[in-house]
Amino acid sequence: MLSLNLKRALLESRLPVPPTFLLPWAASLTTVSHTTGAGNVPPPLLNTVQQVSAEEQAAGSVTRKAQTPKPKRVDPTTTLARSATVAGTERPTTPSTLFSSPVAPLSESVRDLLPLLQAQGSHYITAHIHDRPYLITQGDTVRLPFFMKDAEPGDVLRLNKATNIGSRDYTLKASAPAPKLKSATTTTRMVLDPTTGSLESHSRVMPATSLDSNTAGASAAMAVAPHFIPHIAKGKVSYLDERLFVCRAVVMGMESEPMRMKEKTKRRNRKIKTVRSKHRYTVLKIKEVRIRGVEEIEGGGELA
Amino acid sequence: MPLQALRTVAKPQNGVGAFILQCKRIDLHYCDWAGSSKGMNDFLRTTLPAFAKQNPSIELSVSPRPGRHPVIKGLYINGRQKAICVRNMESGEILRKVELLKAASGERLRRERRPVKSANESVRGVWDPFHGHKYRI
Repeated sequence: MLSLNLKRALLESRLPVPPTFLLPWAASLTTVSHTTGAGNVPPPLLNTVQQVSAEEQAAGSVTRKAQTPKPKRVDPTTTLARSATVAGTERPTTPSTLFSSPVAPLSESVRDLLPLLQAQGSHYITAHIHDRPYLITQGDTVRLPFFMKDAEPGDVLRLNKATNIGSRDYTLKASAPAPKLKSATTTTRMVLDPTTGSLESHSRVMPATSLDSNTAGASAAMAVAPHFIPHIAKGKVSYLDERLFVCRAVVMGMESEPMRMKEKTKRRNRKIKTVRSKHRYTVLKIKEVRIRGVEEIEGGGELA
Repeated sequence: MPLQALRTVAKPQNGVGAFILQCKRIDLHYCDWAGSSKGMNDFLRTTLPAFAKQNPSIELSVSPRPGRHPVIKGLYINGRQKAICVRNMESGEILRKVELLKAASGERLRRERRPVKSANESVRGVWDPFHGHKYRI
């Protein structure tokens, strides 16, 4: 009888997950938050949603320029996957944006081999949290090298940055990262000043940046690096398309290391200073590692 | 011979299916006379009811322990206990310690060198010289 109700709820509500009231164990399930607006969410849920969204933002934020999906042609203006998985506290997403955005096509190799990858028994995924890779399968325990302040035990995180997904015989990798931008000095040209040519005065000319001709999305074509690149934007790794997989982790809690003592002193100085360290680490349990089917991806819309 | 099922026990995986908090009980001991228990008494009066409401799965027990420092003890599913003496602490600090007990598993503190702990077999299989690329001289 309960299963009939569940089925009816699934068909009626058209959500990937049955309504929360039918699943008491999943009361804090907050993975898909595309309909979150400040006014809609009841107060007890609002806190958990914003916690998860803050973490998803931190763990899975994708910069527009660095996004190069794996071997397929992608329209650089589509941000379908981003709008659904990154929670809506910052971006005013509505349910209609999920269904109305254009779906980028998958490449031939992906369309042919993804079902084979999916059909094989076990899978692993190299998920990146704050750009650090973790090779995980379902059921693994991951101890992160930092402490997530906003994550309470029981919160579910969606990991959307991954570089490899594999099974026994197949591996899905992201495409090669964008070529490294060279600094301006390597491509400056030596120009002979025509008026003082005999005196051999040379001037250095910076190569013309093509800001006026190309759009910002074609930054990979620029041969010259901008004047200052913050270290976080250097983009050494390119990630897989988020639509291809689903990877969820539960926050199990926090653990700390045993107290460490470090003694600091100098030679011939009797004073010894002791520094105590006891760092805290968040522990995650990988709840789900799943590869989505080609129909599911190309159908677009709901990201479960 | 008809198909026979294997007799196995399900592997316990807390979190993969349902999530169960590891901390099942917290005992809070206070003293009416000791000055070190002042913060603890304030905590019990002001902050504890809200914490109890937010965490219905944790059993909270408040009892006096006269003549002693205030102490909070957490009992975990694996049977181990963690005790923290909260003498001379303010209400906010005690709340942080209680949250620490709640988020902890009952395991001993140990330094984990590897971030990922897995009980699954390797996905790609263990290497053997007979499958895959043949070594040619």
